[in-house]
Amino acid sequence: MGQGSFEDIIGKKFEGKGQEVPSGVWENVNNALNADLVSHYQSSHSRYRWLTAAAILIAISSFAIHYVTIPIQKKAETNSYNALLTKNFNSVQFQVSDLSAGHLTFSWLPAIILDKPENEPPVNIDNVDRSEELATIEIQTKTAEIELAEASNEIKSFYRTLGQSSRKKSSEKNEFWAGLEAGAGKFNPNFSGANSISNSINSSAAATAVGAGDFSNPSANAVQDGMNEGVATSVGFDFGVKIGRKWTLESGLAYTNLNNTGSASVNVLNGFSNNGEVRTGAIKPENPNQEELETSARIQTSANGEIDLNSNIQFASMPLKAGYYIMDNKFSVRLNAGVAANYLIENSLSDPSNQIISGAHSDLYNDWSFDGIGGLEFGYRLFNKIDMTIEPNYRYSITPLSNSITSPSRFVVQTGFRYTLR
Amino acid sequence: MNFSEEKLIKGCQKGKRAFQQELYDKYSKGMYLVALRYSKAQQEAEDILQEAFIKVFKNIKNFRKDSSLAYWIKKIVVNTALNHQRSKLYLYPMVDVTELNDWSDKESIISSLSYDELLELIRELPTGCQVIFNLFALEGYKHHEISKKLDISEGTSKSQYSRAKSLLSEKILSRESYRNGTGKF
Repeated sequence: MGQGSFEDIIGKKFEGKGQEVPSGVWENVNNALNADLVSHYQSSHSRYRWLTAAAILIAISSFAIHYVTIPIQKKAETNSYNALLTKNFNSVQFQVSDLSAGHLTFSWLPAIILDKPENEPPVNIDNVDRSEELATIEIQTKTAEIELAEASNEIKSFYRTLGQSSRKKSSEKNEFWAGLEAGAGKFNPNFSGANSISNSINSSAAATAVGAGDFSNPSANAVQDGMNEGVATSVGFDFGVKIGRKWTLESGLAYTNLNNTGSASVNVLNGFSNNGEVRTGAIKPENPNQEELETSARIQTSANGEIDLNSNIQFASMPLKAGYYIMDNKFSVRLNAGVAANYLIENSLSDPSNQIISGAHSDLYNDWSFDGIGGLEFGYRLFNKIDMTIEPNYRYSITPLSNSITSPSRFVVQTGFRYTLR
Repeated sequence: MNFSEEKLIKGCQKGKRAFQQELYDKYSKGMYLVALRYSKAQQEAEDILQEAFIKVFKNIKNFRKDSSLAYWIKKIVVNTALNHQRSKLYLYPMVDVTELNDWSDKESIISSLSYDELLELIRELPTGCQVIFNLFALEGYKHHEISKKLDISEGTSKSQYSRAKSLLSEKILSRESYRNGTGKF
């Protein structure tokens, strides 16, 4: 008999056979598994406390830094542009009240300078006060250098997500989730530079908004000391996958709208104008044989007006984040890092009547910009399928949204709820 | 409850106790027999089985499904049993022995034995022989694999297996003689 035959016989003897197991074995296994769970929770309990304390400290510190030590620069008390005007013009200023329009006020610029050909004989002008001087208004404009406010953006967003699989069981692999999100917050809009906004104002539109001329003098437009703090809203969806026990990969698409108001000083130049106190006169010589001379002055008048501005920036943001679960139970902590690609959809400047003052979306802002994201997400299971989350994260501008000045980094706190589908 | 193997695995991976008990109930009898083959005493076999199933539940999340679940569990049980016996293997070192094996006339005798009689005979073997016999004859390991597992030479594995067979032969013959009333003393 060969060995193979012997092993076959032996093997077949035991094939499919079993022995009744004493009941105490399962009880011991059960107890061992319970003890393992208890020790796991006990060891992580102290971690919970330290991490909670660290998270609260980080959140408090961040808020303190951004709201106390780095305040958003307020609008200047004085209008530097108007201040320049008063410095550069010496003549008498006077108001023309009948030219006011609504919320707009006008102040005629003074500076009347006599401009008369040399050796010109004195003329008599009917109905003309010859003692009056006609002048060319010389306008000097300067674009005000407006100091930019230090940028610090806070965006607080709330988002609601639907459809996220459970994170409680960290042993599951290849979990998928998807969700919807919505958010709202504040931001400092002066990252692009008031100077740049001024240059982007469309002349004709601004003039129409002012309501006092054919065109505006672009070089004289000046945004008043920076725009007001605005409101940012976003809506989008996200989806992710759990890789292994602790790693996650998340992406999505969000539409973000940044809206804020401000005001700008607009200097409007008129063409030939016979308004106001600007006159022309015909000069008739005493000798009829002499040519009739007519003196006229090319008058340019200008008005300085203020217009309200509404700035709107819309872009699509596509984040890609990797996450690592430090804890994944009823209370979860996840470390996230990634990048976000932002694509500019549209930006516009308009006045209160929605007339577009500047619509060229590429002038001020880059089509594409990228942010680096790093954050710590805390989650708490409220009910069986509903989680509450809070994520303070830091966004560093890799490439800026504005093409005139580097966009600053910003600290963001996101909160929200997640619903687990399965 | 009667779950499919797929659901059973997923449930155990999630740590759900009901699924774990279901899996235990399904495989414990067969695995207990395996543990008995490697042990001398019933208590020892219970310890091996208990320890093995704890390992199964802790490591089931790493189960790759490249083999059957039963095979995977059996491997854990065998390795646990070897860990239990390893210290005893060092206490009773195995050496090369020369044994003559002739099973040509014993095939029918072996076939007549029940599995629990055979189990009892195997458990009576010396520890080293018992382990190697189980690994080669019942688990299907080759001698070079056994030598690596137990950190012995291949020759020692072969000779110990031969010795196991010889001893089994003696015990079987002795038992048969006793039954037939022809035992020689």
